Amino acid sequence: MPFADETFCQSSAKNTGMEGCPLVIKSIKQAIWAPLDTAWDAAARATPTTTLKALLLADNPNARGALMPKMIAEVVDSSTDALKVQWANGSEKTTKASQPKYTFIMDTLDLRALEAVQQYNDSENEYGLFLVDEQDKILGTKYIDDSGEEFIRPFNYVETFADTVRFYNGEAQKIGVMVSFSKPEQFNNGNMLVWDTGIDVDALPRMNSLVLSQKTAADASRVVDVKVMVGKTNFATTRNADKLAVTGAWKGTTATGAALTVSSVSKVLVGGEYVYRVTFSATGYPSSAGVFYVNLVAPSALDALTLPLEGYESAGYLSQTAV
Amino acid sequence: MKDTKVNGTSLNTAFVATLSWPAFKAEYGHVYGSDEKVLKYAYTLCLEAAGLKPVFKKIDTAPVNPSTTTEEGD
Repeated sequence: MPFADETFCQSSAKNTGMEGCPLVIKSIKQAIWAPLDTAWDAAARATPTTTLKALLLADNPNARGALMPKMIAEVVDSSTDALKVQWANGSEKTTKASQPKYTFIMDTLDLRALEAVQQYNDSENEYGLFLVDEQDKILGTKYIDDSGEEFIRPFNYVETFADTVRFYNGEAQKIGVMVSFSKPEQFNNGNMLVWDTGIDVDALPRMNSLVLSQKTAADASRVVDVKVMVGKTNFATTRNADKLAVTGAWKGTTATGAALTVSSVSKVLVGGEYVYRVTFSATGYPSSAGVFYVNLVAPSALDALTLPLEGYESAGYLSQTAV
Repeated sequence: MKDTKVNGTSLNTAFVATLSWPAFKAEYGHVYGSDEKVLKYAYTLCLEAAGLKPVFKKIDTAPVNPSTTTEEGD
């Protein structure tokens, strides 16, 4: 649905106090508007197993069909201030304590955008979400100043929590961004969540494969070089590459299931490609010809490392043979 | 416990903290080659990060317990 829909404009103007309908921003093709009322929040907290999707569509008077984000998750525990959301794949995501009261998901953003989320989270916490890339894919809030000029601006991190999620939309797993905010008013006064949908969903990068790049002579020293692919992109070449160059991001397992100790990790250039050089301790390391497995830790553990790796499939691993 | 980064390599600090100096050399020798200076530096950083003090000298003999020594001339 076009962004500058007349009815939508009227609705927005009525709700925000804006005069007229200066809603056209060239690079924005679609808007997602989530003026969630308190009923959703109250019900979600009172009934932890309530399906957010139903609440969202039922309680949001401005719900506009295709414009609405798709809600798949269920709140499974709201005993604390944080909403815990469980996705269809069983993984859980706990929103930031004390901040989120209203949560929704935006479908299918690309990893560059997700990186931007992380980048801002790592900074001064001034901004929570402001995603722009060179192809005009934008996620942020729309702001209209006194002169009527429109801007895209980031969410204020103090009032907003944004994080990446992997979820199931009934057809396929997708990568998205979950946004929680504590004050619905944040989206009034000319603010609006806007989203450029000029994204090829099928081309979404996903961390779903681990590829052994090249064995080296150092294999005898319990070293495995691993190339991590995110779609067609070598993760070691991305902005967040160093975040996988930590021992906590990796695990090794013997054929009997015993854990190996990852003693060190470095990012090295092998054969013209950056790979992660994962070194294991001698303790428990299999004898010659013994099989062991190298893998990234579970997504939830990667989350704890603040790695923006949603979409990574934990089932992937490398099977190695000790030399 | 966070990794300790030395020369671009992230070392498992918690694991290093369990190792003696000879054991560290055996585990990490191949990471930094034969450069013992770097190895010592890495070992020191890891142990300090873990709140420990590195010991490099091999203790060949048990320390003398003063309480069990006899005074000369007794």
